[in-house]
Amino acid sequence: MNGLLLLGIETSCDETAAAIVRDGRVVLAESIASQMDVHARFGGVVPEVASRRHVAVVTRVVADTLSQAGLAFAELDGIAVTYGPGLLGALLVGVSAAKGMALASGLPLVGVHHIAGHVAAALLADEADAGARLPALALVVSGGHTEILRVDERFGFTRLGGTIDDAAGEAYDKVARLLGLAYPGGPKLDQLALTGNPEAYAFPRSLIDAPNFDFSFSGLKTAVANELNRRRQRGEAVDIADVAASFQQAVCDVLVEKTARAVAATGLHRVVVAGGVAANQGLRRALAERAEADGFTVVFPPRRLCTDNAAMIAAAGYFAMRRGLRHDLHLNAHATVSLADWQCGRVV
Amino acid sequence: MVVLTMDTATDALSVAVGRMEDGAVEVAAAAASLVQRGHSRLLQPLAMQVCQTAGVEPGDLEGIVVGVGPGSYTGVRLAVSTAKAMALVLGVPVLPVSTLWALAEAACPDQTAASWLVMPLVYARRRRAFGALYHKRFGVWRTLEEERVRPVGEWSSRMADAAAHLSEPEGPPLCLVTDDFRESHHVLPELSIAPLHTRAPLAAVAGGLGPALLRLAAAGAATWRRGDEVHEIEPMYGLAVEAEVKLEEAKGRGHGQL
Ligand SMILES: [Zn+2]
Repeated sequence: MNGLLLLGIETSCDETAAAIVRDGRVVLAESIASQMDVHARFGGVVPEVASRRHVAVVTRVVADTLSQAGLAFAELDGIAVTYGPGLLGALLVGVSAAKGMALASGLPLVGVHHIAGHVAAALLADEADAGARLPALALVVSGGHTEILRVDERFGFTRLGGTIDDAAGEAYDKVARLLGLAYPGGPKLDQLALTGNPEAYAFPRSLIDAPNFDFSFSGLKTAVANELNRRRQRGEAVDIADVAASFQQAVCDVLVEKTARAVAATGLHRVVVAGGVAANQGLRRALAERAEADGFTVVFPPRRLCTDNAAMIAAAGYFAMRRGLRHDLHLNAHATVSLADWQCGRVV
Repeated sequence: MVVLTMDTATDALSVAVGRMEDGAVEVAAAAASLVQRGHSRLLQPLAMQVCQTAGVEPGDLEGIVVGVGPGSYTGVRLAVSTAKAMALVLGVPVLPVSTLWALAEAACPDQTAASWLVMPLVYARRRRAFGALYHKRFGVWRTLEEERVRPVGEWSSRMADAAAHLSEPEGPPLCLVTDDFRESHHVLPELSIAPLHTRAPLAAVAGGLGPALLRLAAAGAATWRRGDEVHEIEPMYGLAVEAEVKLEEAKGRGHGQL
């Protein structure tokens, strides 16, 4: 009994990644070519540069993954690839490669929604434990997304709410830039916040009292910018660690409050946190404290699986295939696509 | 040797399957699509269909010939990514061929003693074109100008110069331009500088592009890449990324970052 072996491929932004996962739970091998250094020079991801790098390395990461696992294509059971949302040109490289592999090998193919991938990261077994179980609530927080989702036992998604403007990670990056932290500033801001006073500034907690699961972070970013300007105009010194800590507290307060309310509203007592911001230490601590107080469990993926990777795509592809989702060689890439349209096969 | 060819660098998606033996070519099946923005969806289904028409299983393929541009950035990556991926699965070599050369061969399949001066042009925005200049006689190609980007007007006068030089020993060559220009590009008048005998629009040569790649492969137009060398194949972009150019300029002015 070998279980089902899926090859995952991820090229939606600035990481070219491949992985082989057994039964959506056990990572057998992974390989990742990060472009972080390439884009740091530009202060952000340049789509055309990203796409060119993906073409240059995409087959090599797949070959590395296969040789690490000691497997040949013929021994795999399927290919899963991120088909959206993301940078269109970047996504197209992974989708083209995956379709080429499916054509040449005859293996089944499944296009995976990138956010479903982030959620599946929490289901992957770590050295420490066996990964989260479904059903669960998912709080997805990344540079492009902030959403609360209900995930049923068959990996089906219902969106409860999400950001109406900036994503949480986007707010982190924008505020980091205001504070003069070099790209990518999110993790640096998180680090800096550890040393600051979270009550030094009273930044707004937008929508915290609204009776829904939506978020808004653009006002928060503006409030930080205004505060910095005001102080500078008055010639006052600004302790950027205090600003970072107060900003982080405002973000975490809203994320934690809405998540706790979603637990109460749905009766689901298991929360998985997914996406790049799930690696954030401030958020991890705040959510863990609230979970303890309210009596729900919160599962964070291993830190290395919070950022974009292919193991999460292979895992999501496995669960999607088990639900009956399959794609043929006409699969396309989509810069924007909703979870709902993905899981019922409406957008391919 | 059973070979699949494909090209997605222009508005034409072209594929073919055929056999090459000692420089001879037998095209078993070919297809093309001019569906706007359809390449990413249709490339692999069309390749599959052409294999089926030819009675070839994908597993029977012994090599893949791919047009590597220059041309549309996004487009050219589709065929190159697909070719590299298929080669990895099948363990077969890949032959990267200039799309411009393939356009020239598709527009001018002549094998006779006639002297042909052929200039393929693919629009590169701002009144410029990816282009090259080739001379063909007895079915043998010679490259006069390598692939690069120039204003369309400059390409036209280069063609006029080349035609004048070639006229010396053997009389004026037959001049042929194949291009993807549209009225909206506003460069058609600039083509009139060229000593044009025939103009072949892309739509007219699209169907012949896949077979042309096969003939160029059989003629030894490029070097087959095998094993790990396949990973290194990249599209011929012809232009640097704008953000990189700006960064270099900023460095030149003494600024570290944008
Ligand atoms: Zn992501």
